[in-house]
Amino acid sequence: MRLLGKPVVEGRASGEILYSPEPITFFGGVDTATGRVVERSHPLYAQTLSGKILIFPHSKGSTVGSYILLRLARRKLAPAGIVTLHPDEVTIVGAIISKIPMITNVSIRAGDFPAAGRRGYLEVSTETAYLEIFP
Amino acid sequence: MLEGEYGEAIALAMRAVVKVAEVFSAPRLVKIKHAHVSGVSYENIGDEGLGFLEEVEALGGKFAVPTTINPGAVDFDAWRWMGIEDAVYEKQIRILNVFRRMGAKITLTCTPYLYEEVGFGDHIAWSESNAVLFANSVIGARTNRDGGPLALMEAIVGRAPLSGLHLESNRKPVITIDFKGSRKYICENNLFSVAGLIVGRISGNRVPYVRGLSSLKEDVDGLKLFLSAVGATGGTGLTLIEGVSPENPEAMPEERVEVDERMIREELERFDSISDGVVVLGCPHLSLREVDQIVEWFARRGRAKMRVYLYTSREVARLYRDKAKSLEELNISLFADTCMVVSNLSAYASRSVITDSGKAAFYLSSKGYSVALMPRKLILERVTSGD
Repeated sequence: MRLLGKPVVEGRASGEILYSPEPITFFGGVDTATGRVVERSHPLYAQTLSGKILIFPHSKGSTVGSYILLRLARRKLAPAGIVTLHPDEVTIVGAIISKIPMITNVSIRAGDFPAAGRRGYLEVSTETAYLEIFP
Repeated sequence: MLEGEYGEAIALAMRAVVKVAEVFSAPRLVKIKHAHVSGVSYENIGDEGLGFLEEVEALGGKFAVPTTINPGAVDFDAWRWMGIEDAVYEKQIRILNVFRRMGAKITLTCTPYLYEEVGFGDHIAWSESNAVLFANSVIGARTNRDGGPLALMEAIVGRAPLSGLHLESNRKPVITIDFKGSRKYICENNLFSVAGLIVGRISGNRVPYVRGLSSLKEDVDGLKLFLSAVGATGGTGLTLIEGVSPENPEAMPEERVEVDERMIREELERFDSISDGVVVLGCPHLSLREVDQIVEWFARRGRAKMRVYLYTSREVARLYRDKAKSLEELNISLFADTCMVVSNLSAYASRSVITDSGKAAFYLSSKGYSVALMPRKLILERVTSGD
């Protein structure tokens, strides 16, 4: 399955797909020491974002969130790539200053989201921006 | 600017601002009148954030417009008392110095709307969700809900992408949230924080039109608590409030959600019901009037039974500097430049807190604190001696 999007940060990434049906709160919701989601009511609770290709609708919560991505990146705990359904500035600027390959405006139909454990490849350049999800 | 002819910092900032403009399909950039930058606390941005700020400054970064900054991790007068380690204090000073050298006014408060001259229709670049929501929803200024580093870049270039909430067309509500069945319960019990948490959760990134809470019109304290809670659970930067917001919708959004008393009670039940620990008030920062009211409450009724921590701006705290002894007698600590969310509260206070702030309750409980959320008046009554 190939998902097309709008390029945000150029680069390439491959890794396990981590899909969140719910928005992610980076500040307060993700632990910068471990890269894990700590928001108790979140569907990704206790899962690590590190090295994953993270798909989520958009971020929510404090605008400090961009720095949480920066901290994760400089500690090598950041997602390998970011794919969002809707653009939000906190995630976009976080990805820019952290140099995490990112695309946005990706549409995923309900029920069509990737099963846990699948791997993906994200390629973002000025010409092309897509996520390939392997079967 | 992109090529570096105005300096490396401007080129870097311009590249980021233009990238954001491209992603949001902004036709152009718009000049801004003011910037408010979050991401100041060393506890939040860490060594990595400090390193990033120093890199930007080393490239020649200077703010092109009046710029204020959000609270940091320490009260600069009481940091030793707060149990702040020397290393944290020194790092926090380094962060402040970077901002000062780049030209920021060292305000260290999350309530710039109480102090800065920003008016209806002004384009500004603010980060800090509660300030963004207040500026857009109450003042009618125009700002997106920027991340700290984006506001920093916009302050350097003096411009923001003409997109999102800078455009009239995106300031129309798309969902009505009606409190008609619960307004009485909310107003009588002062549950605006709880109402805000619900509005944020329902709205997500959409602009809501809130009906039934027009009593907030004359209630800046209630608005602060309501909007900051919206910002904690939701991604929206604008919440149109019937009878309060200067912009009124031409048409009522078709999608409509009613919030009843049961939903309010359920939201409250997400938090712990009792808590020993301490009282924390001032998220968002208390205004002078609020500090006066709280101090007077205890001055009349006697020493608080539990330690009460108040957080405000340095402008307000300065007026209380010579009253430290009487505050101590009332069992009150007054802090400036920081707050319960961005300082290391457990180091100097407790891991168990009572607060009236939905935003503080949301963040502190996600950090593992035991938190009771209740209206301010109830808190004050509960910790008053002799009841």
